[in-house]
Amino acid sequence: MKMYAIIDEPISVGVIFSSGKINPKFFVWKGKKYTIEKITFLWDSKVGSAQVFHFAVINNSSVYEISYNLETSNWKLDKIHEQW
Amino acid sequence: MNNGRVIVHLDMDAYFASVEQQSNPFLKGKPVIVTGRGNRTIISTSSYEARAYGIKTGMTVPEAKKICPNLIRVDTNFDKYMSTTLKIRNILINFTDRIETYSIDEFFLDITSDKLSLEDSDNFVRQIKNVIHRETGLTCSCGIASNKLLAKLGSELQKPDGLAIVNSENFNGILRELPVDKLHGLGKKTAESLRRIGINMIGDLGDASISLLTTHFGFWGHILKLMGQGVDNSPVSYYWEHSEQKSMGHSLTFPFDTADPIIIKAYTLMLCQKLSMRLRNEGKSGYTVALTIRDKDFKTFCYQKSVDYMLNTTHEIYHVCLKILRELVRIKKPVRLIGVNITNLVNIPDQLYLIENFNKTENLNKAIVALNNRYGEFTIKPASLLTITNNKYSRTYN
Repeated sequence: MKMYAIIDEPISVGVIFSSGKINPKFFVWKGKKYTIEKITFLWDSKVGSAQVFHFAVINNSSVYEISYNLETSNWKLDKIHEQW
Repeated sequence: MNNGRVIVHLDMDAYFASVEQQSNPFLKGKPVIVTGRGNRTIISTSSYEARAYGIKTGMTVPEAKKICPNLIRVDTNFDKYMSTTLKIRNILINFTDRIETYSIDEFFLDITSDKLSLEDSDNFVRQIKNVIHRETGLTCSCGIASNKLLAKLGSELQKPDGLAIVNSENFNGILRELPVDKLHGLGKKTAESLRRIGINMIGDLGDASISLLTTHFGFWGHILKLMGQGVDNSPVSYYWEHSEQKSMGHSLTFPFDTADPIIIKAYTLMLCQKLSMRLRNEGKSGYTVALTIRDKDFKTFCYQKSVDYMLNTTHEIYHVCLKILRELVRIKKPVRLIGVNITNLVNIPDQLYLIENFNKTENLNKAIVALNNRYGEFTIKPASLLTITNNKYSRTYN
């Protein structure tokens, strides 16, 4: 009954920083490039003292959750949601 | 009833489920339930598609799956909901500075202005709804009235994505016929007591004699009478005003029911550590500890103990919990959930202890809190908790 897979792995992200906004355009995970077709939701959280920005994004009819740690400047692929 | 005020109650529709459907568009139009982690938690909320099957908040997952086998289950993500709530509040600040965050998905707004009467305020509120929808993709239902009590009743009249104005006409026509427990600020127990004396509907309460109400409820009877008549003069506070927090607590649903005192104590210690961290981060201490225990049959028991010294370290709170467990609690059935609350809160400055051992403990606690703040909760934890992994329980906050 699991609705998603937790990945929690580092990724490389192509991103536009503009007008104070973070706009990821694509990410590379395990050597494969995933173009971000749409950001469906964004939110932030704290991990310890670090602020983390989370993005739910769509690529090829799948939803991925990626996040950016403002303190370490690292991007991660957090989850991949199953399709329904 | 109309005092010139224009108050809005804004209630986000099926909030957690809608946020998840917005986050994952493939969930839209499908029966979705939002629950804690693990197989034993209850439903926090459900999408309207799930509600159509009769799925209700508080049901267990197996109960819900019996009714609707195709249910899609999503884990709660409080960071996501809190962040979205703050985003919505920031949108509302553009419309008025009198905003009261009533809960994670409800707000009161005072939009009173010389240029706006109650009857023609709907366009203004529709603008608010449109901006929220444009910025978050979420819908909300709004009640507009001359006070908070009626505005809250109004937001329930048309759901989802509704808007209703409550004036003297529809108060008499519709709201008087609603059960008393629909009144904001009137608890289940009071509603039960009212029903016992033949007062079932809001209208009955408004019509009841003051002597009957004060005989049963004392001074509170006067307030109940006013509530029944739709009268409420309480103000909507400014968004920068914070009401003083009266209690703080955490609870855990165990991954399995257990009566094992070692496991119960280990979880209790875990909760005390988390609570202590929060208290100390907010510069607070308390004098009363309340321990909540829910057994496998969902029967909930609450025990509390007050002390004459301030509590805010893990060991101080845990010590009182142990006393409660030893002196007050008789565990007859396996336990499903445990909660630790601290009340009678006071603000405290950093304390200096004269006794060396106190200072050592204090320094140790500060170091633990600093490390956990820096790297995340439970980075440093007591050895007795090493067998309990963080992802094996579900969390609630208050």
